[in-house]
Amino acid sequence: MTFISLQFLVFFMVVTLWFFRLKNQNGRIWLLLIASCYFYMSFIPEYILILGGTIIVDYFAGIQIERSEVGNRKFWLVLSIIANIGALAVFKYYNFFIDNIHSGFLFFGKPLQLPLLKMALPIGLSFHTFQALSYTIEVYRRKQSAERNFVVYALYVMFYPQLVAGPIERPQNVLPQLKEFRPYEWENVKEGLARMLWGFFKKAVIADRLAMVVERTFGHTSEASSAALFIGAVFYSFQIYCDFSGYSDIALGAAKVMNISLMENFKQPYLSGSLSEFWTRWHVSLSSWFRDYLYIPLGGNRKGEWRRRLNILIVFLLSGLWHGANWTFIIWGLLHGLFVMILVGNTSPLAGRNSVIIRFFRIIMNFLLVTFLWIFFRAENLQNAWIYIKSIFALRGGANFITLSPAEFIFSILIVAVMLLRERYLPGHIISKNNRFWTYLVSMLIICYYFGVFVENQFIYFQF
Amino acid sequence: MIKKILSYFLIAFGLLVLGISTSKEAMRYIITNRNGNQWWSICQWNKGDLVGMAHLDIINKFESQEASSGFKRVNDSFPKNTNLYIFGDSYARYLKDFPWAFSGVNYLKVLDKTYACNYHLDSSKRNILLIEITERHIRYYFSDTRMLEEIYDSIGKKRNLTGVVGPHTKNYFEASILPDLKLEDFFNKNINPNLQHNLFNYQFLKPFFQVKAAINYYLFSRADGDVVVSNDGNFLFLKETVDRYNIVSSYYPVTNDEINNLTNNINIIYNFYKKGGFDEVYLSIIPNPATIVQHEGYNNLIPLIQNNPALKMKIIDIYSVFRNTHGDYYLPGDTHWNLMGKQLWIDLVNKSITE
Repeated sequence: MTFISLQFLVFFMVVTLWFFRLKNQNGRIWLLLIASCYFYMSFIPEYILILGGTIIVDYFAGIQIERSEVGNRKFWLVLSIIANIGALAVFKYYNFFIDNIHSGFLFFGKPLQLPLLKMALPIGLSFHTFQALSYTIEVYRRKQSAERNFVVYALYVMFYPQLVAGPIERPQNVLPQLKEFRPYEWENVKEGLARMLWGFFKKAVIADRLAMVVERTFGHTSEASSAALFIGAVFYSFQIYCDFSGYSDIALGAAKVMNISLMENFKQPYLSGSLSEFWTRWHVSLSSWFRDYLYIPLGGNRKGEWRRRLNILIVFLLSGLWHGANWTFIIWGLLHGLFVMILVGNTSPLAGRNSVIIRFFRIIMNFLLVTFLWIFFRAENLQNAWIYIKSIFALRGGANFITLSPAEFIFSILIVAVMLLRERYLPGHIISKNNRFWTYLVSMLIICYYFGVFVENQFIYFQF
Repeated sequence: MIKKILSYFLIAFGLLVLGISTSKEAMRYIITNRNGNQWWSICQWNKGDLVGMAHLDIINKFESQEASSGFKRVNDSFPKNTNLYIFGDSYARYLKDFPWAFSGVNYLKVLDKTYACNYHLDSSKRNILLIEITERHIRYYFSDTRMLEEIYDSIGKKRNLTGVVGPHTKNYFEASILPDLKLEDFFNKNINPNLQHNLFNYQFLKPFFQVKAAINYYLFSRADGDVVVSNDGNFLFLKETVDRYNIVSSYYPVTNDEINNLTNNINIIYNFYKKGGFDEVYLSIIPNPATIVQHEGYNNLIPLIQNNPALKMKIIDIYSVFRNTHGDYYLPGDTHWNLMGKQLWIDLVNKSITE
């Protein structure tokens, strides 16, 4: 069930209305857990068993960590990490690992055939794994008490708005909200619905429209002109932003309607003046996860300059691997790490000058760098990514196809500009006056229906 | 109080519509009983299936009417000693009422949307089976002998495929973790089209769809959803048949291994029916309209199968006839062929079965 589907709209209506009709929190938790199971099972029903297995392990591990003495605490933490990372390793990375072994043996002229796993990656497994790990690590660090109510814990890792593509939550933020009975508040409902509509707009009207151009340029790289490829790469930057941040808007909005606040995942990342700033604004819940649970435990910036740079590189390398079992993601992460490692701490001639023009120049340069790196993320393999980049810089002619008619191409640029300006100057979603809210609601519904591109495109981040 | 009643009503309504849209039986009942011209009836689209899917009935140039009659009555001297069975799809629809269009045919049985049935052959006659299949379904049906599964299901036999099928099929059967629980009954993959049907497919809502279709066509020069306009602007295609990333597309790459696998599975079907008593089994693959109208970049799936020397099944080759016709035999706003195309195919069938 994707958020851009009739099934989700009906499901959301039923769950939300039912949620507010229940007068005790226990009933609400059960309702949300059952609804979340239904939501997840609507993708591939059997895969809930994988989530169920890790939930049981983590639930008991959390309690044991809290109860145990020093040595045993570590044992239970390690058990939880092995269960979660193990599931991820098997279902996400096993085939990648075996494929590379095959290639290695083939390179040395000794073909080898090891069995491959013939099943699709369970949707959202990487998000689920990281959220579950954050719980056991926080309990281990004594910053969170172990949750005794199994249903509450299960809901914490399965809460349907953020189950398959984040934000990757922390137990301190979500668990208290799940346990507390919160009455119906019209202001939250309005804010949540307005935010959901904004998410629908970004996904259906912008992301899926830009996808038509992106699919064409990345699918026909050898035929396209340099200009068309450049446009395709820029459009992909906005497609992935509108797709993923649109998903986050819908997730945060859906939770907000039920009076639950999730963490912000995007803070206008393309207005960043540097790559390190970009990572404080893009997929914030993941970058902060890596900061809290990997970068700082590795020593962070406390062990000298070179160690700090090495830690940055390790974090970005693993961040790339987290995104997918493909060399394209690994190289994408590695390049981000290298650029951050090189640029961080190095003072440029423009450093310290904060005039509007210089800030604008830095934003543009950073955006072009991020766009260049997205090519690795989007390409099917490293060879295609390399051909794509080479073809852009070859400044060659060729097919100028961008799939869209001139009118729709201009329309696409306009709606991207509208989106950027709206998020820059009207970042919130609170509409206090009821008349304005209803006008906004109806207008956005009309715009989303008439200008939305409704195809069976899943959200890009579902694959992770 | 009113808000409370309204919320309970909406919860009940939502659950009901989700339940109905999940149930295959309920949807079958609804679809068969929502015909007619009442305001609550299904939107009527009589100008071509693609025109209907894209809500483009306001554009006259795509108007299409699929031929359901008008075939030539065959006038030949062949003895009527052939029983012809056509297992096919919507391309062969309507033919069941026209046995007189086929040469030397004593009895005609046409099965629409299935490739399997309980059949009782009359051994005193010449029994011929013609499997008609559209190009976009080939890779679905012949990649792992799904067709054979349908056959086994339809005749109520246990699926004992040992020694009959290749490794592909074995994997297919073993892929499901919990085959007996039938979880899919609770998680219908077609729930969104079903919800669309139940919530929005009404005559009185038709103008809303037409406005969206007009915006897309006139402002953005394209059709909406699962339909695309051909490069020359004169035809509508199913999007999946031109989408390079979709396996049913005319442009999705084909490998030699895949052709050999498809051929092998077609041969399995051939052996099955030959053993079942048919005197001859023919295969006719109907090209996607895009294959003919927008040929550049075509993956050559049909000729590669038809010309594979290992293929046992006899071919009724409509592809070669259509190849240079630029869509003269297809309807502009429909996935199907026009009367001329259908008649041409019948003529080819007659030629083959009387040889």
